[in-house]
Amino acid sequence: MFRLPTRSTMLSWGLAAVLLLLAYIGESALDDYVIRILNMWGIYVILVTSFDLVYGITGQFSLAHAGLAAIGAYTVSLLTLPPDAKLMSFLLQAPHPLISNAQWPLLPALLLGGVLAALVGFMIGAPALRLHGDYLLIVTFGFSEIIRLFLINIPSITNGAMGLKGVPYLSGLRWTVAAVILAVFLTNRLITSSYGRALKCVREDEIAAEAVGVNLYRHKTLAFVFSSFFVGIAGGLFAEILGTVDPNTFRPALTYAVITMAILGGLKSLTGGVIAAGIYTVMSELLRTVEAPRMIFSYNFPGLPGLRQLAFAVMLLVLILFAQRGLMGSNEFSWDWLLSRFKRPGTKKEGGEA
Amino acid sequence: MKKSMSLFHVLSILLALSLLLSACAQTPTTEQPQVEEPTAAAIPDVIPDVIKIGVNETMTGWGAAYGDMTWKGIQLAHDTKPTVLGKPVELVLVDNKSEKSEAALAAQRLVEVDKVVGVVGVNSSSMSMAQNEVLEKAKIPSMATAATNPLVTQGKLYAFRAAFIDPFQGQAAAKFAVEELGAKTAVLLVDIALDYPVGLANYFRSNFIAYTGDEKSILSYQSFQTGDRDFTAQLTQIKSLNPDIVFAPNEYAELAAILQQAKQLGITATFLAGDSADVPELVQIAGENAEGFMYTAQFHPDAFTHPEAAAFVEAFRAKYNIDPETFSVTGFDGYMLLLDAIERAGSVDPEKIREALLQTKFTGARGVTVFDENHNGILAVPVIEIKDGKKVFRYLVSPGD
Repeated sequence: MFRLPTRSTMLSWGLAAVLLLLAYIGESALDDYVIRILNMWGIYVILVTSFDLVYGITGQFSLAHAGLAAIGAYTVSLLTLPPDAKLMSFLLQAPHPLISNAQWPLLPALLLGGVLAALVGFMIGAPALRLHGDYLLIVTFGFSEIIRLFLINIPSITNGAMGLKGVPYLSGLRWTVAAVILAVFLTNRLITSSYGRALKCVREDEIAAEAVGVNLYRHKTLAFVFSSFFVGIAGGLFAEILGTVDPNTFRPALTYAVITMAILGGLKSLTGGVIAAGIYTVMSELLRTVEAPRMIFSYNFPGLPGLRQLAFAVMLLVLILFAQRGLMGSNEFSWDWLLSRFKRPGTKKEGGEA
Repeated sequence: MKKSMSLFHVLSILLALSLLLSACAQTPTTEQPQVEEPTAAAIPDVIPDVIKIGVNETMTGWGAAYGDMTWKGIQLAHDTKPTVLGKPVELVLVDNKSEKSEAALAAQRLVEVDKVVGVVGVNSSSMSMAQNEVLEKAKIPSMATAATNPLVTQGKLYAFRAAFIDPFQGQAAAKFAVEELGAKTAVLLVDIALDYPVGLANYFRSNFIAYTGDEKSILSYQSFQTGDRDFTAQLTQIKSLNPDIVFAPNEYAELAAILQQAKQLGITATFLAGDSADVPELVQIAGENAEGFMYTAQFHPDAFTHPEAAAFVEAFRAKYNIDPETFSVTGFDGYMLLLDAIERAGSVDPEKIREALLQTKFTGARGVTVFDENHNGILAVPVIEIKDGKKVFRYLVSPGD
């Protein structure tokens, strides 16, 4: 039964190994600023990938990302915070005995964060995915806000609006890169499997899909729960990197940022998501130079905060003018494509996951 | 082939854009002549040619009004004291879009790219908390401005703040309400989505009960959410309870709407709030409905009369043509306190600056400032009343009262 892996598979495993090795080296070689940007990139890649799966592939527009990420973030923060730190920062009410003494290592905390997010994702998805289009959008948006309100209103567990602080930094670039590889790899496997073809079928025409025997509801829920799990993981990593969480971090603005990236990269392309998340995080830091005071043609131009967002908006406009379907449309990076490029000199390559 | 060509077009445009942006040479914020990049900053006891102080503020996003006023105060402080240890000070302003993750990124940038000696800001507690996680790891002293949540400096070695904290502000408000206004009952009207109102209302409640000696003196806890504009349900209930005081320590946008609707409903109770109400926008939006409204603040020109305060107020009026308030005074004092510590440390070594900060006894715009064991400013709390559309100083609660 043993089959020799194809060239592409071997190259993919190689790339994953190289990325992990680079992350490992990078943790000591790079400065904390670059590491933080790369970490944010990774987290956004996971968020965008899971959005692509639900909207780009399955065609279900969901706005529940921020709320689901909050579940993961709070789970990881509460489980990794040392008990004395919890006692100190719970100013409104004493922490609930259920969480006051819990102190878990990072991996089980992250996994539980993912599982809880998936569970909540199921609770949201089970009733909501019976709806279509705009109705689904409104319901998922509502659920996301309900999660945030819930966090505000149970101060004995979440410390309410005061938020949590001093979350120990147990993760690192390795963790983020590993999670990204896992998320992109598994999502890609799901998309290319028979389930994935069924999901695409649901996106294109629900009636036709049902006619050929695709269980609509089951497939939609599957995609939604699958993506919720990774959103939870991303939320957990986000809390790790920030070291502090509060309910207002998970306002709808977070979901909108993810949607921006997904559209920028191309909704049906995971590769596009990886690139777009990179552009979004790296560019918004590079564009800081726009806000700094500078000399332009001997005119002393004072710094103007907010110019960064303006420059970013212009950049997005230009991009959308040139590539209406996002950077990658529905194209994916493939090794065959890359290797065929090498046969002709003078071309440029863009890194990404297989 | 055609598709990938258009992708390359996009990429080349991106490249061209970024080249264009980096082509314009950067100049320092200050008027000092351009100085070479300090290379010795990494070695603690060598004083660099330019001393860089980072400013992490909410210049855009929902906190833009607060950030702008804080930045005004910091700039004035920089004009007043542009050198330390005989070297020019350069301010490096980074905007955090009023977002937590951006505040952490901005702080990290100040540490790694700009190699700052210390950081002034943020005016908001939640963003200060994100910033301080970063700065604590990098061992860079920070001076939060108007952030009053006790969690900001709690358990942190390098985090300080140029403001009093909410436990004391809540106590001051309760003391003023009971002892000056003779209040016996109060209702809390709180935005439960934000840490500031929730925390401050909590401290007001316990202190109000202590001052009145009556467990039942807090009649009700009414809540709403940031962004709500209709408060008639809560206010109608408050009217039927008829309390002496309505303590509503919320952001100015909600507060203005509350005051307006309370007037329409004919509520006669005194509305009391915290230092987040100390922005000109409040009176602009609420207009004559703000008449008789009172709040605790970090500063009022008439509350402090020592020469340093008078000099600050005069300089501020001359530069900006407005009166200084909570946010600009904490920005001003924050910069001054940090520079005073660097001066006394005689070094830019974070360890020595921290030691010096602990010994602080600096006369700023709000009198002699010292830090308590948790690095919070021990400062007096002025209470301000809106009379004829103007901010009038009403009462001063000194620490230890």
